[in-house]
Amino acid sequence: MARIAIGPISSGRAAAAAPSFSQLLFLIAGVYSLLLPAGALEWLAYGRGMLLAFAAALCLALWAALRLGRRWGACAFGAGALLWGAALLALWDQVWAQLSQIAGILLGTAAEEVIPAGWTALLFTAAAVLLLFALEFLLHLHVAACFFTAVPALLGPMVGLRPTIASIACMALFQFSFLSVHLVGLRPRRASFSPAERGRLAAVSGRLTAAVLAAAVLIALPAAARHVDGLWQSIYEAEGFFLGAVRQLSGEAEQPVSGGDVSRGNNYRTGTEQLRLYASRKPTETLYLRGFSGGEYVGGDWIPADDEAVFAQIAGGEAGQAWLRTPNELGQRLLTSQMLRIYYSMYFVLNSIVQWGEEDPAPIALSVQHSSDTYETRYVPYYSASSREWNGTGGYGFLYYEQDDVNVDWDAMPPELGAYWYRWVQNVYEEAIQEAYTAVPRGLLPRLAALCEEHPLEGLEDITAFILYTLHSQASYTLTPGWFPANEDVVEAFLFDVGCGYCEHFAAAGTLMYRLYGIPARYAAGYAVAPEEFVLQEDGTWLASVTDESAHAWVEIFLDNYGWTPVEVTPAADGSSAASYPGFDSGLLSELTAEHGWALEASASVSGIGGEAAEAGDAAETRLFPGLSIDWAEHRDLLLVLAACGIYTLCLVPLLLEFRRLRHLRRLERAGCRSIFVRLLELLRFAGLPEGYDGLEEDFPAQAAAVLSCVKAEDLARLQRIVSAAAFGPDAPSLEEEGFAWQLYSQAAQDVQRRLSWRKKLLFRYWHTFG
Amino acid sequence: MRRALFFAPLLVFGYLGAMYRSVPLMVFFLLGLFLAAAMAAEAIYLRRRVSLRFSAGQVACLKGETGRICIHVKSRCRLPVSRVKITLSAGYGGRRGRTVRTLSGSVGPREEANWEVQLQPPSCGLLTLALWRVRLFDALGLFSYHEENVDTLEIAVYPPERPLAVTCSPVLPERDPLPAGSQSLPRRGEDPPEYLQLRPFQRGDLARQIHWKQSAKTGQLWSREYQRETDIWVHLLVGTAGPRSSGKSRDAFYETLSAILLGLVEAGAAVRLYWREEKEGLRHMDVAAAGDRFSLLWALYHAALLPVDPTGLPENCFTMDTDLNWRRGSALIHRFAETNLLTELRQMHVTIP
Repeated sequence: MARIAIGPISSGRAAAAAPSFSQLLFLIAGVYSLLLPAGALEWLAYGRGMLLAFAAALCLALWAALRLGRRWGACAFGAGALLWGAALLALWDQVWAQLSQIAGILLGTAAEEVIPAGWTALLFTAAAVLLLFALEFLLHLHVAACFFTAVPALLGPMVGLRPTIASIACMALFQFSFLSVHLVGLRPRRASFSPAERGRLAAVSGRLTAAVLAAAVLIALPAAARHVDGLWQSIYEAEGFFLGAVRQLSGEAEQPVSGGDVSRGNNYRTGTEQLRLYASRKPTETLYLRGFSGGEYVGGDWIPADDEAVFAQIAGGEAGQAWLRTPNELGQRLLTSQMLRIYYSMYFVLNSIVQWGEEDPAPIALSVQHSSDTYETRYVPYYSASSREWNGTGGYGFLYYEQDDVNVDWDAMPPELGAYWYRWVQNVYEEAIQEAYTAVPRGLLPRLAALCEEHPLEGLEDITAFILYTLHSQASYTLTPGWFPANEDVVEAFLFDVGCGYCEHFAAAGTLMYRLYGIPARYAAGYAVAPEEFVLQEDGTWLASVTDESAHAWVEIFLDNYGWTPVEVTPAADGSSAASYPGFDSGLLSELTAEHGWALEASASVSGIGGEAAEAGDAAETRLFPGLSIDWAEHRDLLLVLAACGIYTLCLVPLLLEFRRLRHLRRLERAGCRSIFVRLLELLRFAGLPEGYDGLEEDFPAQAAAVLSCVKAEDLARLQRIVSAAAFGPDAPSLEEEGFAWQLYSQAAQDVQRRLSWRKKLLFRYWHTFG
Repeated sequence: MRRALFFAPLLVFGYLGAMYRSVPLMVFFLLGLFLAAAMAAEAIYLRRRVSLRFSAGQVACLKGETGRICIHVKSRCRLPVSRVKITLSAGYGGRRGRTVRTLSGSVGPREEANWEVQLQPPSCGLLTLALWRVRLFDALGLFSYHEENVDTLEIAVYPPERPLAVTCSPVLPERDPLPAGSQSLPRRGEDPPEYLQLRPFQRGDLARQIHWKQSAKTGQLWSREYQRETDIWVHLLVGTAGPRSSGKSRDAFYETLSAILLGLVEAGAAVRLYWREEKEGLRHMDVAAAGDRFSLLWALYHAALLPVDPTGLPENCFTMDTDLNWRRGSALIHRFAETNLLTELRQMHVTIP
């Protein structure tokens, strides 16, 4: 059977509905959503209030043109685009320079400096208006418009351009309201519907959505402020569950990882066993197993410390040359390897030499097994020496002393053991690392460097206390700090922007602060195993199953007679400091902080979220109402631009006047023969009809025909009768009579207009809108 | 798809808001969720507050021509319905056909509107147009309330006026005695003959038979029964050729029947057409003018035709079955072909002795 054709009735080509005033407001909201976040960039100098006004004016002009008709709207858009292109060409050099500077600051490759960006801001605003106007009103591509307004809000925080509550509200108004407007269908492809009806419904629907949105804002804002922490944690848990599952399925969870990369995101633990430790006795201190030591800091990443290079430098220097019989390359290599071999187990050996008595603490035998059976990285305890005593399969072993058991007494060394040689190695090494492990890229860390310069301190204990005070007061511990912005250093972002992080961030910041004070320090990463994790086995050994939850990062500083010593700068679970090393403990810390007036307490909120929310709220308040102060001298360029805009607006005045004229005529045509007759009287008076006629006189047709050359008195008389019948008769005039009245009026208007001078013609058309 | 386009970016906002720890982005996420909840509530609110029915429109049209159907939309809710999606299905023979068209529209708060739909039926017969599914969407088009089998409309699709060229010889006998209960009707424009009696309205009676005055008095329709005078009467029995016939053959059958009736009427004859139904038995209707064929076809469209069986009918009764066999008695006058039927009807000339 042939197909039954069914379709809507369409009388010719259906016209698109004219946009309503509410759609203009939605468009302005969309443009503002792009402009408002830039208001927070204090280094960007431009007239914010002026720009917002310009954007609104341009939107109004384009909207008014579209009200006249789709063709007028397209012409206005085309004219605007041409003007914009011409302006861009004319100001290309200036704009390009400004854009390059702005991009450099946003991407973190250039230092912040005030950039006068008036032209760039203006061109960007005009481009935003034209783009959104074209997408929404001409092309009806709402998805594309949503994309262009959403992408900056989503990607902006990566470069420090954070959206504000106002910009988000504007974006929501733009996206959701236009979504409902387009649903009604401005495009002519629906069931039979007049364009006016569609336009009216679209406006009603848009306003309704905007009203619901306004109510939603009143609920969403306090809800977000109160429960945003819980929302974030839910999302983190979901992400953590997903990532953990992926890691476990791929086997990555078992891999012990310690590297120099300071993470810019959240840290999710899987609880998967990565190491198995067998100890001869239960440790009494936290066991730090170092898998990585960081040397040079290169912005979010630590290059592995290269002690071999340090010793090679020593061997090649004066001190090394003194030891070499034949100061050649081979000799230097031999010296280097010898010093390295001595150095790695030096403090264990020295401690062992000193503590020979039976009552002296014995070293702990430790063996390390990797669950994944891959041994790319070895995890070494402090004050240790490699041991081959471990008889189990796989893994590697150490003998080590706990920190409290280390007591190197040079004076108690038997001379035949060559203690001077060890002492010499320590001294030359300590001298060499003054340069090797105190370098800081100040260009990447201006705020951190300035902070240390503002607090000049001497003495390791004072410096340590200040570092702990700074870290604990400016940041709080959390495994889910979120993403750090990509355009600044992770340590600076951690301390000065985000305000929360975990051990990697604390350790990196602590290491850099030590170095800024001239104290050699290294970033160390590995595992920190608490004594409680060791469980007594049947064979008398103590076993600790180490998961990724014990992965940790800390600071190493070099102490005489101890070598590289771990310093815990990450706050404990209760917010207190767990930092201690020989010569420094919590008691001394309290004394020093009290002495300097440093309140060593956790930052405003444990998770840093409330503080950040408060900051956001405050920031939102300030960003909601950006300063409208106008610096005329600074905005001379803008004034010129405004003048250009004024000219552009003047060019649009004829469009507006034409729109007004056509609107009046359309209204008059629909108003009826009586209104038409009143208007005809006004027209005749303008054309020279004697005063005193109100259209009902018997000689009115003759007099009016005398004024009009091409309208007959009989026609005027008929019109008079029609109007009288309409006013006083029982029946309404017929359609034919209404049409006759309008036709006569149009004829009269054309006739009068033909005979007028150009000045009077302008008045006739655009002021009085007679025809 | 629309829902995916709405929620997917929203989830991205929520995720990135958490990753950036940005309160404004979370506010947007919550705004979207709240809006979605509001829209879901609106979709529930719209339930049973918007009615769509076929209004009084054309219930008959000619095959191949454009007919107009009116759908009356009435909204009783205070909110505008941004999108109303209606699915129309059309099929012949009282069956719901495959979906042929989906249309969308909008209606304002507490408004009524008439949506006109045009259709071009390709075949003769009883076309059932159904408002098969109506979906009312919220303001953002995310959720909808839908209703199925909302309304149906029967549209009689008649064949266009294509009379067969027929010549009737005057030796045709006069009208045979009518079977009991039957009557004859005057042609259009003719002076009405004396009518015998008033009787209750029966299915198949023409509108002009109705005695309106009496009907108004009694509240029941009454028809006049006439005694007609005519020169030539043709008896024609129609029925199926077999247990089943396709829609196409029915279309060809109606076209052929209409052409024959028109041809005979133009040739000056009046046709008494018989058919058998299972329950009603033998039925008949007279066609004396071109316009009478519509009532006849309407009756045939609703009839469950039985195979041709001339028992009890005059010997010279013509028969026409759905296989387009036109016989008189047992003699085959012509077998029309379904293919190129219109050409055949146009070119054919039949002389009826």
